[in-house]
Amino acid sequence: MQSDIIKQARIEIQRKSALNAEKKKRKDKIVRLFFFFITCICSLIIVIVAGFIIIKGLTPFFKIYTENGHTGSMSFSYFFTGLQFNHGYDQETGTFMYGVGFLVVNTLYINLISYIISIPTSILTSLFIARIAPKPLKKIISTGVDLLASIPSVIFGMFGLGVIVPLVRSIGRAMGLAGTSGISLLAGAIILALMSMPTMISVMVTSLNAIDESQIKASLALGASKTQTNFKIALKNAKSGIFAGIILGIGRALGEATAVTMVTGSPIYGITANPFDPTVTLTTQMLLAIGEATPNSLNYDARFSAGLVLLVIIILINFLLNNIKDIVCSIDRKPSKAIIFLKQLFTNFRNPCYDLKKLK
Amino acid sequence: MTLKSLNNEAIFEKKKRFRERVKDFFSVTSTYIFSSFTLIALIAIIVFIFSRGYSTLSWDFITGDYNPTTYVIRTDTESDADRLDNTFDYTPREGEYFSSLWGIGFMDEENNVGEKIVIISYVDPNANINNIVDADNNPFTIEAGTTVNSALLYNDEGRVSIRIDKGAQEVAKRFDECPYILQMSLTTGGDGIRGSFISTLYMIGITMVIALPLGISAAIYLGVYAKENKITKMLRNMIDMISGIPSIIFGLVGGIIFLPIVGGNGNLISGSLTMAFMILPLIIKTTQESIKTIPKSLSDASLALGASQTQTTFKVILPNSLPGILTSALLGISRVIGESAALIYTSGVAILDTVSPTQGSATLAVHIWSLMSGETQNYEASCAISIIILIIILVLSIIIKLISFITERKKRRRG
Repeated sequence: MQSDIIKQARIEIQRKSALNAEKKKRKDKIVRLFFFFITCICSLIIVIVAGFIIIKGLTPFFKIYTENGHTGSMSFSYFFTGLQFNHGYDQETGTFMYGVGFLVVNTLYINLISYIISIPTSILTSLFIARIAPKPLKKIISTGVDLLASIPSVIFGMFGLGVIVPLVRSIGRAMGLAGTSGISLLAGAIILALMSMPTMISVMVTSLNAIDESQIKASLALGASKTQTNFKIALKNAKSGIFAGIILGIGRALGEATAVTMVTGSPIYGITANPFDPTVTLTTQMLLAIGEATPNSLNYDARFSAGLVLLVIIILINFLLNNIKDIVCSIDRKPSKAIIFLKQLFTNFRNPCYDLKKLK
Repeated sequence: MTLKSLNNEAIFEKKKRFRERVKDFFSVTSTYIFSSFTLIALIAIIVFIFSRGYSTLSWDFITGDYNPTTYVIRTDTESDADRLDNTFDYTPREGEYFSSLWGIGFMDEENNVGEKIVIISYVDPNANINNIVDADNNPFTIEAGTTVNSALLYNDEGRVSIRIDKGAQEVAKRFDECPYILQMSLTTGGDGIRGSFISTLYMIGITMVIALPLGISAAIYLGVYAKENKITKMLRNMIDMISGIPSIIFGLVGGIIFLPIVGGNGNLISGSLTMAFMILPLIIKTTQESIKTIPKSLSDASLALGASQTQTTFKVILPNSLPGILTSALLGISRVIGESAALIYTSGVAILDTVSPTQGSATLAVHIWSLMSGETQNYEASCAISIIILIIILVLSIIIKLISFITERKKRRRG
């Protein structure tokens, strides 16, 4: 009798706990789905951004705008070959002439100059921090790099306008360019280099710290000096990290807008070759006179086209550099013949002793 | 023959070693020189900002209005009988010119844009008995530190107009000649950053309210629930890709999405929505990292004790990843404070004194941008704002360091 009651109770408890477990499971599933949903929303941002840029960037070519009494869409050929962002209305073809092609050239040029400054500096600085510096100096410089990384771009721009621009002006005057005002491509490139260096350095230092210590010891045991080991073994081993740093830094430099706008001036026309002349790049053109452009006008939409071109450039450069990184850094893959030839050329060129010994 | 060649070899070796040593020396020196560049740049930035901005930085600067208040005052002609009897004694400071008839000292100064102005530098304690009223006939008290914009005085012989551009000496002289003010315009305050400061706080608040829940949820999914499959990998890659997009593109897209909704040139809400988009990957990554460091034994123990996955997530994993969440929030805040390009499109560049979230208003960084991008640059005020921004960012990064230090210590104790 009693055992019956106990049995029943046990069954009851089991049933309840099973129900409970099921409930819990269902709840878990709902919560999991909820989190998944939010993650999807977060990752959809990239789709939204890319979609809007692509759609909005392509509309000016097809949509008919009415501005200043003229109607027409954006000229396709002038977009790539034109030498002015807003060149007005072309009566013959019935299109508005907005040029972006020259902005691309200017952007690549200013970035190239900034890389000439930033890449060697960051490689040597990261080598110094990771392997050469005595401990107190190491701490000081890495803290300095961290601080430099946290400075907002407006402050960089203001610093550029207050310090770099007068500096460039005096350099230009000393070189005999009387007309230079200092607001120039060179000032922009210096600011870009300063801004992209912390990113590069931090990635490079991480990769230099992570290299295999046995390689270093082997090199030292073979009689190479410490400096030779640092430059030839450490740098070579951290190659992929160095490339990753460069790629990140380039990404930051290409997208930078406010600081560059402040120091490069606002010419409206043409490609700049002289580093002491003002220049206009993709990002600065997108910022210039934004207050005067009303949304959904052609002037506003053409900025989306510039943005689309900027995104395409960033993606292309990233793709290219990643490929180069794979070629240079992978051991398994056979380097192409051209690279082998170049390597031989350089080693022979650099090392005259090598040839002498061969002759002997 | 062999000896000679051996000797030659030795000399060759020696020369080679010497050459190598010289080369080593130059390589090491080059790393020293190049790594000093970053340090020099940092020091130059800090010295520049502090030397130009320190004098402007004051409590009034932080709490003051951006737009100056202008008063138009005059002498109340109905009750100025004993007006002429007042004379004041005061030894003016250097560069100060004193009007003994009025008891007011004037001084030449330059404003932040570099224009010459005349300010009232001293007011005698008894100088304000002179029946001065403002435009609404209310008694007005002249205070030291106000700028004189224009003044039209008169005496018994007629009107005397004062040329402010001739300097303080001229102004003081004319004031001594005339006992009455027909019309004088004074400006007080201005150039303050209270509005921008408050809109920065609004921006941080709204951005965090939107971005933190989304970011933490996504981090929990990716760190706790997600299985390693193609979809997870794709989601992760997409979130990583967001951080590679330049802020100006975010500005453009944020502008085109939110401006039609909020209208006009955007407001603080549209700006912070854009910022939330921008800092999401940062929050997700940092939080996910901290979830990863939670020992698996903790959540396993919770599950073994019969807690459901949901309970484990909310009661074990979330509290333990609090340092990471805090760090991500602080990183996000410092990103919001420094951002300018995206906000120029989405929340406007107008500097306002009375801020509300439904109005477009400049944050501190955009304030600098609008001060610097005009015809004349206001270095003093922008450097002072930069000092404030840098101090905030420094404090935030110190807090982040502290958090990581404390969690490290805790972990070591536990281990």
